[in-house]
Amino acid sequence: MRNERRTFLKAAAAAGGGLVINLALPLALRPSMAATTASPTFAPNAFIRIDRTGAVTLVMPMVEMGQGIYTAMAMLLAEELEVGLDQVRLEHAPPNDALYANSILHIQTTGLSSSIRAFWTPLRQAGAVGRTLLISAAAKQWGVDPSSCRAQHGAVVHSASSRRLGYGELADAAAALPVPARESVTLKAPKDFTLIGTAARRLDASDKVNGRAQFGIDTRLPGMKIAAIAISPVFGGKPKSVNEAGMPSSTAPPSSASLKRLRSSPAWRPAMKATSRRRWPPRRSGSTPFIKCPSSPMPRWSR
Amino acid sequence: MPFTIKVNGTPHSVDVDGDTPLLWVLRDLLGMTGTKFGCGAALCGACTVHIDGVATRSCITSVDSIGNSAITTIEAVDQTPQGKALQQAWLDLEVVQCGYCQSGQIMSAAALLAATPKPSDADIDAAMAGNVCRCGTYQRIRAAIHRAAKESTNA
Repeated sequence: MRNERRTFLKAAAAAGGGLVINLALPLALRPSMAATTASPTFAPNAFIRIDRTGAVTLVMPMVEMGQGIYTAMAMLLAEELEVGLDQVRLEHAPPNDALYANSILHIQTTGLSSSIRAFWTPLRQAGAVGRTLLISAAAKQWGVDPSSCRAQHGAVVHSASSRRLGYGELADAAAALPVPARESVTLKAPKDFTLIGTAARRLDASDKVNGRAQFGIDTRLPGMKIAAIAISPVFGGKPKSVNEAGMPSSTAPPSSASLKRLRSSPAWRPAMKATSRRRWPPRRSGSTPFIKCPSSPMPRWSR
Repeated sequence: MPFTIKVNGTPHSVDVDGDTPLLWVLRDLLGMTGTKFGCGAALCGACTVHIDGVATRSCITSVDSIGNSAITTIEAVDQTPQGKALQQAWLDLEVVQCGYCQSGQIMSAAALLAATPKPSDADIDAAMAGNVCRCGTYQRIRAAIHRAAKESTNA
């Protein structure tokens, strides 16, 4: 039985920067019963992928906002998987409540200081499942008992015969084995922790000092439009008219539905403005010559 | 209107209104998203780049004001000895948390070290006051600047 996984989509940005965003469709948790062609990646669950070169990718279910959980969650996975933090690369999880929901909050959301509490056991189990399968694959290849093997820093060793296989060499074989239930695998005792409890260096830091880290505002998708919100400059003001003809050609006028909403919304609630391919123009939100808001109880208000 | 600007040593031709801020030319047209938008009003420093080595808020710098000046962004500041030393110090001292302000912080710090290789705390206050950090990493930023200054003069 093999794990079935979907293909990855790549969307390249249109303009010169060449930013590529990988949209990963969710990995199946359970192996498919049907025989599939050889998968180049060992992916026992939604959190771990190991390819034939031994590259380990850990999928982060919760968002790193500076609070350090990317590093902490990687430690939970790496501890049980028996890889070093120097051997892993991290990926954001795609949106998928079924695979990545926070068990305390019940949806895939990051907050309430809950991430480590929610994922303490599930991530350790995920890592342990990976380790168990890799050891099984090695033991099978060597014809020895899995209990005589141990996993260590990205490899399985059989000390009695001084044999060693890296995770990359075992990936294909491990991918062919049935995935054990996560509740059935043995987790390390705290006294055996080599990573959890240590002051590990943050894994997200290097991309944050050279401009490579991607924040929400850095998202670029093909054909993406950017909307700016026009807010009444005075309290109590309502939009009176929208001068569509006067808008620069790079903007698109609002739909009639949104114009309707413009006229009926209370003044202090922002009204959707024209969308644009670029952020400039439109200039700054709320400042536009195209939407007039003359009616206001404050006729002599000035900016 | 066509403009040619030199960014990190490479000329780029862009066709925009002359009053377009450099920040948006870098981010939206050239796809260089390392320089960040924070306020658009030169109050936060997230947009800091170097123009001829001078730390400049790109959000209020119009593209038609640049001419032949050399623009340096966070993506290439490691090509300068100050930038490289600062990035290493930032990692050594685990400065970053969310990281959003840090491009601007490093650019301001690099300009400071280029002008003042061994800055005092007062020099750091003066040069870095325009770069705000909501995560509050200021003490580590200060320590990292001192460390980079020390490493640079030892090299």
